[in-house]
Amino acid sequence: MAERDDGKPRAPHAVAPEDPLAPATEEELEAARRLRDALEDPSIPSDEAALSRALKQAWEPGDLPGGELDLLVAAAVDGPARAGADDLARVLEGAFPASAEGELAVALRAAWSPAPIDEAEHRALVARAIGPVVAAAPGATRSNVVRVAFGAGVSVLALAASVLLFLNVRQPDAPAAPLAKARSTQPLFDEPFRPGEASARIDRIALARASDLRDNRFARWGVKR
Amino acid sequence: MRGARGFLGIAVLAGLLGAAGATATSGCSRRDAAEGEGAAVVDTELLAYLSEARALHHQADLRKRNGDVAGAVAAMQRLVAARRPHEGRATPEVEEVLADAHARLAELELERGDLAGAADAAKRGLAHAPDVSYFRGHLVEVQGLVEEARAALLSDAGKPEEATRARAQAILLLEDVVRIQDQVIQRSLGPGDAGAGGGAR
Repeated sequence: MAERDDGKPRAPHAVAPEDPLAPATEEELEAARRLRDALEDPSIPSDEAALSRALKQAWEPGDLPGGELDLLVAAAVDGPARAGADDLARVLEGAFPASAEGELAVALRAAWSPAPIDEAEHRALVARAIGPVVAAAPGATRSNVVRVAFGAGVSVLALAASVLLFLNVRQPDAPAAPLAKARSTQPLFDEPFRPGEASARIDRIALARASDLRDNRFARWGVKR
Repeated sequence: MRGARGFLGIAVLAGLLGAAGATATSGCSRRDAAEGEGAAVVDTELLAYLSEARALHHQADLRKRNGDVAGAVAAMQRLVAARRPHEGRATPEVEEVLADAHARLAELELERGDLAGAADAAKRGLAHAPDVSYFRGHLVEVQGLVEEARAALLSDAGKPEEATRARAQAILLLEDVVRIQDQVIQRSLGPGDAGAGGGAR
């Protein structure tokens, strides 16, 4: 029997129920017995026992019984998800992409790992590209016409490129973007220095000049900011 | 057939020569531009020095936080002795970093009771901040604090007259600080303030 502060024993039912030191009542002892039985025998229905088992599984999950994992996986991948995956597989094997997802899958594969073009398709593309020039050259002179046309085109392109390059490189003669020069850091500070802030000051100086260096690099590259 | 090939060859050759000429012109123009830029620009060498200074200041912070004032002093001594970029050329950033490092060195020497070392560091720092600036003001302020500490020591040592002289010197130095800082503020408020980002470009 519990002792009170004054040393006198106290009756079990005479204390407040919320007293944590109060002895268990008959009802509480009976409830504890029922819970213990339910924990030992899962066939006994008990919300408290089910909660206790769920908490135990969440805290320390055990292995699933044999076959249960396969059943769960099959349930997850069958149905609409499985059907969609099968459709995409057929599209990637060469079937016509009948859906937006299919077209996207084909485009992604082509971008990631392009397949070689079929020889006939390649010839058809080349013929379509140079067809008008070849068609304009009759009979035996066709090859010479193609070479001359190609040569003239290349020479014009090369000359145009050289002129463009020349014009491009004339730009450095124009006023270049100004470069940040070494200068006083005084403008970085708007009040007299205080003790214990030397590191903060060098931090500020280094960051400001790092920004200047980036600007200088952009200016040298001809990129204006 | 042979004529067509010849024409093709000449055309391609002309194009390549044109491109080569343009490239050569490009190289010359860039070289000229580079030579005209001068060396007093913010470059990687300057940034490397500033990074080194930053690292040593933070190292001093950490050492001091561990109670290792001597270690903090050593970090600042490394900074004031470090190889500076663009040797022989005026680099205001470097001068100001050195002025501030000497000021911190003086403060640390003062903290560990080496008044002579503190006074010497502050004096050497002033050589890096000859003009009116916060850097110079801070150095003179540290000089004043050193004299104030000296006055206290002399007073404790029973040398009242020398203590009085040291106090008078401290007052003069601290008055000089007021004058310098006032000038700095007046300049910053006046026209021609270069601002933090675009100064002497």
